Amino acid sequence: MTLAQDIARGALSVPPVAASLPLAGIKRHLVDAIGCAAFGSALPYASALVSDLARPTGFGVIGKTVRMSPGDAAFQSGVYIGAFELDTAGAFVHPAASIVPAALVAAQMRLEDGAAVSGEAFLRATAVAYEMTVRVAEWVGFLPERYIGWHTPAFHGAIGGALAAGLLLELDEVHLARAVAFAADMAGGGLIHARGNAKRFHQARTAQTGITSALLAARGIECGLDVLEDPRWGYRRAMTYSGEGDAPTDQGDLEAVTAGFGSEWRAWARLGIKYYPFHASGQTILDNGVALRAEGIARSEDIVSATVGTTTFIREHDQMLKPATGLADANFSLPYAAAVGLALAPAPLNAERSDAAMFATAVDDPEVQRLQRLVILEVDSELDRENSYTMDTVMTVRTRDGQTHRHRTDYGSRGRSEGGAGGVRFAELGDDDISRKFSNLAAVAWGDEHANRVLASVLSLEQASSVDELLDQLHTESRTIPGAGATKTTP
Amino acid sequence: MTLLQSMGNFLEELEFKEVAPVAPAAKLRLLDTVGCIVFSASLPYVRQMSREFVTSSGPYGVMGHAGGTSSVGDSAFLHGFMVYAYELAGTGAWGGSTGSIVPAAISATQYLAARDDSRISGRDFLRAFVGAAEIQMRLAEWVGFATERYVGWHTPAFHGAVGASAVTAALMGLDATTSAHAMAIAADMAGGGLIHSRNNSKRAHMGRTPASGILSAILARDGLEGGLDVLEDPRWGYRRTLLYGTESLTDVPGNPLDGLGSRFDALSKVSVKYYPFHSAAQSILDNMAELHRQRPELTVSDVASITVGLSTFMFEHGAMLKPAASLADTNFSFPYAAALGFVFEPRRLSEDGASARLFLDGYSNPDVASLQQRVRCESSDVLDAENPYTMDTTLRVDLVDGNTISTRTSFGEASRARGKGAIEFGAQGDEAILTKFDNLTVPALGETRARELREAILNLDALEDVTDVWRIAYVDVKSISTGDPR
Repeated sequence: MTLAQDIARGALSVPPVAASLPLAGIKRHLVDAIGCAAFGSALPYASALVSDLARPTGFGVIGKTVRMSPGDAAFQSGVYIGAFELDTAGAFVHPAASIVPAALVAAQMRLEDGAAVSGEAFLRATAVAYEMTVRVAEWVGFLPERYIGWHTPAFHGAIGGALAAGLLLELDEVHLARAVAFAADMAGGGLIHARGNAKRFHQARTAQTGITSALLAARGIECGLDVLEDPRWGYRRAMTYSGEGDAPTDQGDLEAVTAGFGSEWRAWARLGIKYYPFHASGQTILDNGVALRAEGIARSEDIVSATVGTTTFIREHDQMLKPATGLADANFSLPYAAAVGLALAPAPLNAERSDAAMFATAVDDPEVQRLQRLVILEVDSELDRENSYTMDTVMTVRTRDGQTHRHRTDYGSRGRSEGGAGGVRFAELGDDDISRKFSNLAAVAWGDEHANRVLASVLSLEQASSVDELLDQLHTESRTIPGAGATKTTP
Repeated sequence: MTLLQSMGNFLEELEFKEVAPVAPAAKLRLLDTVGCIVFSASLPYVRQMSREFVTSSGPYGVMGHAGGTSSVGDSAFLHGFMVYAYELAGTGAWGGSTGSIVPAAISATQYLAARDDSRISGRDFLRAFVGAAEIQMRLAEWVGFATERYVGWHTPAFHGAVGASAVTAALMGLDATTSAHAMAIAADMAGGGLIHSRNNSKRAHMGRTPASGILSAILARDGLEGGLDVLEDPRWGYRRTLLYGTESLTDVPGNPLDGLGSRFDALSKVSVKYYPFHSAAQSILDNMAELHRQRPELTVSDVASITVGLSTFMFEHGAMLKPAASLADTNFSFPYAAALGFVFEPRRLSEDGASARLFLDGYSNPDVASLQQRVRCESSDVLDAENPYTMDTTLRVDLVDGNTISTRTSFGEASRARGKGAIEFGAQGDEAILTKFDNLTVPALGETRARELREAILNLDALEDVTDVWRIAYVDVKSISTGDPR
């Protein structure tokens, strides 16, 4: 039996109503994904393709009333989830933008065919897909990102998308395995080098690949099922190749991918939910900036220098070391993150009255622009020793009076025990935090009333006999954020 | 200036008069690719799949289908899938072929007509096609062989997306910078595709490349930008990532811009297949033809075993060393190719009277089924020493009477002259390409429509609107009945 077959069997083995199904976990992530998508749909640049992809009939997109083909609808919702760099991160994947859009389209296809899709079935499919995506990602590991240059979420996410869609399309084991194999072979594209607009489309492509793979399998199209583990040319081997010549690599711990599946849920411990619209390391940079302001830097105008220490891995993201030049690269610029934290000390998105739109407009703030030019990024060897994949950072600021202020985050110590090697950790958000983040994002797009309706639907989804009401709510036109129209990454 | 900026400048400044000398070759490559698409539309597994994408009201026509797709990406995906659906598309230089460029160009012209009512002339089409082919070939040669040879990526799935974005950008008339952004986005969205894969996986990931290319160009046109140094960035760039770990195992040309704009030789490096098989199987079937010339009286019962010698690179394609287990993987099975060649002595598709569907029908033949189980493959040091990328093969047939017959092809000598990445099998002249086109399209479209399509492509440079050409093929072709739709 191949790994793709094992994955399919494991995915199908989770009972429809499982005592172990982590409803709380998957609902937290679904709330978060939809909130991110709602806000993303209000950003003009994220809708650049909508008029090109729209058609009179078809499948809906979060935050829009248009209809699209299955692949395009999954792609566009995926763009929205990732559009403001706010979606889930961890274990070398960003599963939300891959899995949720593919699942939403598959559910619509089933409903169109006259079948029922219950809320529980939807939650089960997405939970299984999150879990298996994280397991595949951990099986492949950190090497492709750390040394080679692949952005692994652009690969693994496609497998998750195919699984979620395949489960909702009620593929049997044989066809679900094929969907996984198709996705593995069509997955990818995505260089760790990328930032700005290019990265935003990585995950959207995985959602598109996922639904396409499931549809190919549903149509009876066959493919090779050992694509994941083939020791000479397989998915893991190609992604991790680092100079073995002709020699096949070991296949990693194949059993670990599916061991305990259905009873042991790892994904939720591995994934971090963001609270600032920045790259994962930007969360802790902002935390440091906000903390320094709270601890004694009364006026940002007094700051004369700022140094941010990161791991070597983050420091080597040279594109992210540059000041932001526009909205499109603001989410990825670490100097910009530091400047926003120090200049504006913003409330995180999980706080009451956090201003989500501010993050889209602060790039024009003169003080932010001044500060981001002061920021120096350097490698902090202590962080490297702790965990070469940690998102913890340390910030040192000097003020006009000659004083030096220092702050560092220490989320990684918890990550090492709970998150595995790939666990991405920043401040942990509880259920209320996630709901507040959702409201802060979705209200910008839909207004409070509709945002609350959507939230209530997701939080009670397991009780819904059909997801059709939620789908209708999601396919509601969002408002555009004024002043957030920039698309450029270079001057 | 980054590589992509230079390539963007090249695309913007390129004029038809510069490509006019290679326009005849470009038209023949286009003809060959369209022939592959049209025939593939009649394959049962293609028709099975296209039901998911093609509707009667879809505005983007699909060759071989009466309906269309609702999205330009789906049109590009389906056309790209069909280019490779019968493993007959041109090939060369580690992903330098035009199999992604053509479907992207077809879909891009549909898109421009539908959205902007913009008509692309034959000359503009050929200018864009040749320009994109030059970019993709140089990119492929710059990255080189090691990615496929050692790492395991199927490089056409990467470079094809860049070529597809280049042709779309040129057809849209994007300026140099915007074209560079289109290629940057494509380079970053490119890929997916493992050298391991065969049958429908390979077709699907090749379908993705034109879709990625179109999408990238539309995004760039609408103002979204990619990193323009994505190709050459020494730490995380396209080439470095694709070649990671093989730096000491390969040598590749240093500058992909050499000769760009003054030397148009990409199309000459794309070889035209004449059997619906993976490249290495062209020479397996040629060896079988030679065997029959030497011993025409041999029958299946005379054969004890058949041994096919391959380069190590080919031999490591483990999935292709197995007998065909479904219709969809007949195009990739070396044992099936050898068995079919022995049993049917098929003519090349570039010869009069050849039958394209014979290669499908052979799957249900008991002699082929029996004989392919007696075929084994081995790696050949001799071939490796000549060229580790050669598609030449050796053949040894051990007879039940104890005698042995051996033969081999030597097409590789020509590839050494044309560049390391050139794939060589029997050279196909203009007439051979036209004959192959007829053999593929007449059964699918009928004599009249096939001729009309052929003449339209051959006169492309005189046309005001190339979508008139594609429209000729927007008709339903009959599915070939095989009883195995996979």
